[in-house]
Amino acid sequence: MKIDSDLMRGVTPSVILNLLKARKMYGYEMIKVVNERTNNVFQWKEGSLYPCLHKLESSKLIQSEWLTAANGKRRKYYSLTSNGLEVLDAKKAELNLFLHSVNTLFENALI
Amino acid sequence: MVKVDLDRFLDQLTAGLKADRELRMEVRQELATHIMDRYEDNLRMGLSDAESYEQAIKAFGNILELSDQLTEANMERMSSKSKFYRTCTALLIPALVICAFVMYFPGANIIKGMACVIKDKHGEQIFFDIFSDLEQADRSDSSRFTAAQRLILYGDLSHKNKSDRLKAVCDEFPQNKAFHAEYTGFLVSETDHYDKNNKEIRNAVKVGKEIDPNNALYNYILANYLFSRSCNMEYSAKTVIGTRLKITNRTAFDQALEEYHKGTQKKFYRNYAKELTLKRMQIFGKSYHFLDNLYFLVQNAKEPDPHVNYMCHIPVFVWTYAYQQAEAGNKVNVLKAVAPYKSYINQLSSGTNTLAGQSSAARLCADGARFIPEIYKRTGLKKQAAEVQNILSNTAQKIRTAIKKELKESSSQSIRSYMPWVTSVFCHYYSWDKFSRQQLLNGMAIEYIFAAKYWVVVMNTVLLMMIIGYIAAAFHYHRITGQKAVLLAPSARFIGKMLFFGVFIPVVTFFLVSNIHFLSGQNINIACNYPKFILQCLLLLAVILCIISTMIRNHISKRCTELDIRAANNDKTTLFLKFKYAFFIVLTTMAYFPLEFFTGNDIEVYKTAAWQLGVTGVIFIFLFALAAAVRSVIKLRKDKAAAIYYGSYAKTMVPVLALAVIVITAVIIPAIDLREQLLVKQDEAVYSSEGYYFPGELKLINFMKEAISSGLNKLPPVR
Repeated sequence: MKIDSDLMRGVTPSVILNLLKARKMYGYEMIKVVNERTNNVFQWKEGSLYPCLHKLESSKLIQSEWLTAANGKRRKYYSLTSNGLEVLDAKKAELNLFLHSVNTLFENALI
Repeated sequence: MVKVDLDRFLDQLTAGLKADRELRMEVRQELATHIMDRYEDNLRMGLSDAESYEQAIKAFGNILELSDQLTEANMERMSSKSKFYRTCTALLIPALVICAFVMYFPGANIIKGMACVIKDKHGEQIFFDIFSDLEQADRSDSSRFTAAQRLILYGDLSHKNKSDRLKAVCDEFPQNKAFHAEYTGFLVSETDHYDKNNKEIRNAVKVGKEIDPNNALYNYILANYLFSRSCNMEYSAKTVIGTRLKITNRTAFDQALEEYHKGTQKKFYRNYAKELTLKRMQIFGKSYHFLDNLYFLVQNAKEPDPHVNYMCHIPVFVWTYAYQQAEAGNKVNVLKAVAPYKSYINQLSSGTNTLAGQSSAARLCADGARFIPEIYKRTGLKKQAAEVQNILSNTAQKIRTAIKKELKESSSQSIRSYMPWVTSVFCHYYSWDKFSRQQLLNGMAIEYIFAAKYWVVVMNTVLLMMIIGYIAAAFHYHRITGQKAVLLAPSARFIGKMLFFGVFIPVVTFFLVSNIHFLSGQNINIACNYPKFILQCLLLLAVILCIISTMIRNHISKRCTELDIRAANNDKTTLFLKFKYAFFIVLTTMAYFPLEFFTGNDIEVYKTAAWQLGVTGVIFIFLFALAAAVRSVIKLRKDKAAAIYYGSYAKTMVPVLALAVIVITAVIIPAIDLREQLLVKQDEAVYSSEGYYFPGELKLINFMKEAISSGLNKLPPVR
């Protein structure tokens, strides 16, 4: 099933922050991880990832550095800032509340 | 994978970040690494090299949309230089609004100097005059005159009919011979009055005879009126003179003949046309108001010497009648009818101080040379017939040669040949004899500046309409993609383009326009070249707009990759651009080189055809533009890719066009106005020191009078 792009766009920043909480990652890696973990339900494209990444960096929620990988390639790795961590917690709570509310609404609607 | 293609793709993707080179390089490198990673993965999955590359690029989606998203996302991080550019671009919009506001609402002249955009020297609104007819232009222009001056110029404007307006002037000045002559002449020139206002014409003639008893004018006016009502003139191949008269009302015809004879016995003939026109010219002012004067003459005076037409017709009625009487063997009636012709032509020649009047007298000499000998021959006066033919035709020929010689070097040859009445009034303004060429060019430059102001407003209006269209497209783009289309930070290179197209091009255009009379071989007198000048301006506008739109379209088109939805149109775009460049060359050539430059023929040959072609062309272009606009709107509404394309296009077009409008409104117009003021000052200094008559004109009138008089004196008396 394909998820609506507007819905996807809304959660993309939270997903990125959550990924970076675990470890530093580069753009392409994030796409691969998300697509794998969601069994391609989330079909992330570069077109939606990079503007979001750059916006988060501009907002100082994440930071970047150029590192050399084991294969010798230089890549731009992103990591979470302390601000980003706080926002992530807030976003998580917000998202949980949202999902809970949506579920409640849907369950009541079925009754 | 071809590196060049990747570089091009990355260039286009990061085009909005050009203002911050370091940031752009970083983003570029990041995206390049990403593409390489995906490309390698694709190869490992078994795709071919080309497919791997294509899939890696395709994953980025619509390039224009992503480019804008990246620009917007990085806006905060861009350097202060880009913020400065962004601020400047954003400031264009309020500046544009101010310019538009000032241009279209003269009450809002908050920026001194801009008011001239739509106002002429007397505060009249030029823009609205473009769309008003000439009659309205007269009325709007009349506000600068006093009530007394308006009465002399236009008559009483409270009346709808021209005859009532003129009658009101006669009522105001009951003893004024000139006003009454004009009123009576106008009555007979209006065909409606032939049937409806018989009484009015007779009354006017009666009053005219009372206030000006020695003037033959009213006899001739009545004679012409009665001839027109009492007989029909037909062309007839059977007669040697080529005409035949059918009398329908014998009483009225005899009365007409009687009025003709009475007129030839009067002391003089005067129609006061020139005196009135000169009086009005004095009120109108200097050559600056040349166009006003033309409007005035065409709409109000019809001709400064409206009497010359019927004065030429009257003898033809009489001579045709005499010819028919001669054929019938009625010798007494023949000689009675023909005898006064010398007096008639003499009266016309000596009583008329216009070239038109003299030309009419000369024409009567030529007609007389054709009619009178034939009449004499049929009454047995063969010797006199030969003598009359010889003298009258020689006189007419001599005058024709003199006119041709005198006017050959004149500035407004074509207008003079078609409208000798204009010559008789205006030639003192454009005389070669009196003023230096520089002074004449000075006067001409003023006329062109006056005309250029119309063009400026038209051009600004077109640009504003384009801006509105692009802003609408940008909003649609914003609605569909969520991107801030219009005010995204432009790159340094884009600023350069904006300066080039928004500042350099308008400045150069106006330099060309203000000097177009030097560049395009225009003649001294704008009146005969005015249509050509307007055509050149319009062509120039078309060229400028085409260049701007082509260059920007080219710029946008380069941003589209093979994978973009618009890629299919790239070939068409290239072809279109090639065609457009050829179109520029043709238009520019047409604009700057008149047709006679290539062919050596007189422009008059092409004028009619050009007008017809031009009007047809304008209608077609308008319909084509309308169809294209409708097509674009439909496409824009249905097609997301088109919305992105035009929205992105708008991002480039709006600031460029806005800057052009601002430069034209705030810099070029005041500059033109300043130049105009300087030229008018110089012009007034020249004209304030001069009298009215143009030596060449006086010389010619005197020559014609002398030639006609001496020619007539040589003629044998009619017994």
